[in-house]
Amino acid sequence: MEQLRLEIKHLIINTLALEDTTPDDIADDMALFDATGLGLDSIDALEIGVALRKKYHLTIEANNADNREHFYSISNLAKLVDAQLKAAQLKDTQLNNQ
Amino acid sequence: MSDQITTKNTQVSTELAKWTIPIRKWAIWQDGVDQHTTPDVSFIDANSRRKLSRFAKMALKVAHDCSDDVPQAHFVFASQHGDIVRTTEMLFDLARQEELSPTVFSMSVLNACAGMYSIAKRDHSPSIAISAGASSFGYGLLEGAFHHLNHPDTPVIYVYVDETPPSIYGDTARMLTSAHAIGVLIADHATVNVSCQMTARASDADSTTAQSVSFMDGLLNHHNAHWEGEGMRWDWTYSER
Repeated sequence: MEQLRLEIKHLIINTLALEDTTPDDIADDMALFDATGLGLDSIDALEIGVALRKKYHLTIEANNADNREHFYSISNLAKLVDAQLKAAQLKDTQLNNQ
Repeated sequence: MSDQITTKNTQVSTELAKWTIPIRKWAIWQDGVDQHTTPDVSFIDANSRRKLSRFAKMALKVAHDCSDDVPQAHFVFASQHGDIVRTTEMLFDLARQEELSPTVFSMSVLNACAGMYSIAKRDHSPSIAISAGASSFGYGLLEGAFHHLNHPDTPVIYVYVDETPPSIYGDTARMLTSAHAIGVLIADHATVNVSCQMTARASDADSTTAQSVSFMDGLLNHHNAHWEGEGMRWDWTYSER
């Protein structure tokens, strides 16, 4: 999970071209979309969504009320990615066993 | 056949309009010879700055430099091609059936620079974005001039930007050879007056340079300028105050 969190931090820094920001600057539980945290905006959220879809084939439902929670911090994003990766692996295993 | 030639050679001129534009301050940014640089817009906070293309940075740079720190200004933006480098990249992405970048998409609209300027300066004044073919520069300046005429107490920031279209478009008429941006503060306490005249004419002597480049050369070198194209002759006469 630590590795995944670091990976997502790098993904966000590169995708959003965050100048002078390193993974160390983004605490795992820091609010991403808050002026007191990283201060990202709604377009950034869409941009992160596109990047996560491309890299992890993540499925994000547009009107899911949980999205705000999923996108709150790096920790939450990592949990979301991890859960979906595990679900996809499980599905593959089941298909292979059939 | 002979009628057509006669019509072409007869220079029928009709003065359409003439007006004077008070310019308090102006700023120009252009590529150096064989040099492709990006202007410094450190006056914009980092979280907004990272979304800006080179095109947008050029626009915001000249807007800031000519603004004379006026707290509020009506903002007029004009460009013939808009952010054509980014829009072309988007078209390539679409052709490859790739998802578009939301940031690039949101910044590709013609009024994006006006919006970013408004956010950066916390100025909620109205703005307008204009594109009018090869005469975009002139019509944008006209829009700014007439807004100032109707609201003499409100300064107008007029910004024009164009970049060379990517090579995929091939050669186009009056091709831009380098990127440039012009910012003009139309306001009282003018340092330069520019008198502009539009004349309708049937002529085949279209200018070979871009309209904005003709104007810019005049401004930089303190000489009068003119440009012909799209059935119109534009004359700009400069007088220092």
